[in-house]
Amino acid sequence: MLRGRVDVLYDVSAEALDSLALSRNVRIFAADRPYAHLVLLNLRKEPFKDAGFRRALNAAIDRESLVRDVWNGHATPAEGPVWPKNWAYDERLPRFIYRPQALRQRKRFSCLVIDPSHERLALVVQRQVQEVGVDMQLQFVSADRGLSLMRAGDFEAILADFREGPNMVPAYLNWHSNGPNNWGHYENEEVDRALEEIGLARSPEEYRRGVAAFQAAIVQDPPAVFLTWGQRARAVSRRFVVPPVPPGTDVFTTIRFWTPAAAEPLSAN
Amino acid sequence: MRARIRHIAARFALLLAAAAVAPLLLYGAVSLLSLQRATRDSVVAGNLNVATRAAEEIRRYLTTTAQLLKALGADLQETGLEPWQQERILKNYVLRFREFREITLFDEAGRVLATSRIGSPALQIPTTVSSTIDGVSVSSLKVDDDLLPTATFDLHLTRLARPSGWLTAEFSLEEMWRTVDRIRIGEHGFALVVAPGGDLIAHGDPDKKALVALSRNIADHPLVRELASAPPGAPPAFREYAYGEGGAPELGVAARVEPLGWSVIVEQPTAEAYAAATRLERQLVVVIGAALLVMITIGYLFGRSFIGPILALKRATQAVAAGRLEARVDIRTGDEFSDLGEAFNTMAARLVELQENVKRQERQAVIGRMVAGLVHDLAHPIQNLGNSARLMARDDMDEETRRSVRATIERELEILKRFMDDLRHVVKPRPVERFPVDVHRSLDDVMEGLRVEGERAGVAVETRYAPDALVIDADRFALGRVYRNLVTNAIQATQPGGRVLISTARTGEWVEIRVEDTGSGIAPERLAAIFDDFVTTKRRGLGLGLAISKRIVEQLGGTITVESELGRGTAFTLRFPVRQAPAEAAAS
Repeated sequence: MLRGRVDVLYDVSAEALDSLALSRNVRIFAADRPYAHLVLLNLRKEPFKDAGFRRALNAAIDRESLVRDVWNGHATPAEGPVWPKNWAYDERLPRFIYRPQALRQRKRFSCLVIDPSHERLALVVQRQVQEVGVDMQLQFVSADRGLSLMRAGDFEAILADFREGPNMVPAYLNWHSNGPNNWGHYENEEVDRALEEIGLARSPEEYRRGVAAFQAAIVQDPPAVFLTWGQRARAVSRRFVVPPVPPGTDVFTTIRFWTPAAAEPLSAN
Repeated sequence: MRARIRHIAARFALLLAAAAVAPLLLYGAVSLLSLQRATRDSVVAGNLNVATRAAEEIRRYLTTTAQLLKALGADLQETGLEPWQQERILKNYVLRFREFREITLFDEAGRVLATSRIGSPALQIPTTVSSTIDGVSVSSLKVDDDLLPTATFDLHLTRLARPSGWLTAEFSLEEMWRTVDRIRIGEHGFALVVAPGGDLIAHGDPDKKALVALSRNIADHPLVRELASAPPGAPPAFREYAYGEGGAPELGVAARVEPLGWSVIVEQPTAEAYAAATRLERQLVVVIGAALLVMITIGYLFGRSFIGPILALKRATQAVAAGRLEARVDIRTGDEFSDLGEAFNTMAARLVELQENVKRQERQAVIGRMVAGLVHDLAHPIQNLGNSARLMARDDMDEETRRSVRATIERELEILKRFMDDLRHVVKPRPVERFPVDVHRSLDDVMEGLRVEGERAGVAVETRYAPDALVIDADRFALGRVYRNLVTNAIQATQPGGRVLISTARTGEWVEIRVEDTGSGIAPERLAAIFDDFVTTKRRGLGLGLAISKRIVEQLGGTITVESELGRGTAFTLRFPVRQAPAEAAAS
């Protein structure tokens, strides 16, 4: 984009965000994504059958440092399975708290990493769990390979970003025992009940109750290691006049309203 | 004179301006020059300081990176670690020092021994070495896919003085960019970093970061050219230049990042760099200009007030010279000018007094002369008339004697009539009528009688006419009176045995009639007033003849002049325009 060859960057990496934001020729539009970076655990694999281990893993994660050191502040800690922007989210609900405790026995598992941009996240998580006695072996796989292994259940853990919002439908798809995307084979009656209550809720109160029960059940019996909620940053050349974008809204939703700033050719700069 | 006096006012203004403002102008000029030089030196020194510190910061940043890599190399080499342990160290390094994107350990053949990457390393052992810092070679800078600057640091490892592999790191130079971005001189002063070949590797101007992304080479930049030809260790450079098409003049300074040969250039538009000085210059110029204007105005007003009394005296003097003796000056300056004004007024008052005296005396003299003349001129005819009347009353008078007495009576009456005519002519000039007149014939009309008068006085009256007839437009009778006045005066002024010559001539378009005598002449001091009323050089007569003659001549469009020399004689010259019409008209 700085070279003047494109007018729009679909996704600006967190590392490039600050640098690109300095350019006067580009406007950056950042918005919270309803996607959670997490380490999905295959509960059919031995180490993860123990809910205590899974809670220990979540407690070993310093999410604030992930936001700071990995994402340069362009993310928010994922302290639960519910997207914080969800209207039913309540900060008073139980959540994952950074409270690392060394395990009595060292454990080891392998973790697939699909997205190269998650390499640093993977390394930091690897080091954090290492602090409590977990040896997380990282392995890069292609997206196709990773999806294939995930569907086949042939994995122990996968680090990726999973859709968890903006409503509770993704949660149902991912974490209900009958959810089509429940790749980790997670089963928890309280979670199922909470998700069904959410689905059948006849009032906001019932919906909120369901969300609260869901979050409490997940914190108690986590199906994954929740890390961070991502942000998505778009870069748009100032050759376009972009109308005001509501906070948290993807700028691409307004693309039909964009107008050229001036009738001039694409800058060579 | 007026302009000259005003010039004096201008001189005063200039004098004051020169005396008061010229030193100020000189001071201002020196101040401006000093200000410009001092500002330039100050800005250059300040910007050089910024560039030097930035270069030093970048050098330390790169040196620290090289030392980190060397420390890592020592940790990996001498401790007999297993590959997985080496790999963990590398990963921890990458996490600890986030500028390291990747660190990979190679053996001498280029095989990967350990890497910080989860997958395959992207780095390879270097094939060429561009520049080194603290024993670590540094590749040229490139902008990666995340639009961030990166360079590869390569440490050649040795064991027992033999090459044992490579520790290679991809390093993000984003911090260097931030260092450059932080440098902001004024509003439009930025820093840039240039590699030895002229490749732009950082630019603090947000609008020009794209040049780095485009790997722009600015080897033709004036400072880069100068640095390229400067020997290592040369002092920081600076110059003013306009770079690029339509580029504004800029002040640029440069400092080297040793030992890589990179250069940190800090450039700022000269308009901004010297803005404070320019503002001060303008203020100084305005102040000096205002001071100059004020001083010139004060000088002018002071000059005007100084020469005001002189101007008043000049005007009053001119008025007095024009005859307005009532003119006075009112000067209240309280200084010598006041005294001068009072002296002038006293003088003017005295002049009035003297003039009244002169007029009174003149009036008395004229009346006396008139009365004397009247008595003198009238006494003789009246006596003759009286004598003649008594003779006429006698019975013993024969007829011839009676006729002679009657003739005497008529002549004396004629004389009295002419006398009265002269007086009347003075009081109320008779209008003249102009007809073509043959000058010679008009002269002949009167010359016969005048010759007789001359013979009685023992004076020869001669004529010498021009060969051709001379015709003018004139009143024949008025002209005859003029001839008689002039010739009679000439006869009366000439001693017996003398001569009176009447001559005519044509000079161009003029006819000249000259009456000259060999008489006693007229004193020069009296010559100017000879045509005035009641002025005469004779012992008898009212002195009206020449005055009347002059009026007649001027009524006829001619002139009358006189030349005289005491003891040699006098000559009167009449000049009339030649009549252009045919001469035969004059016969009438």
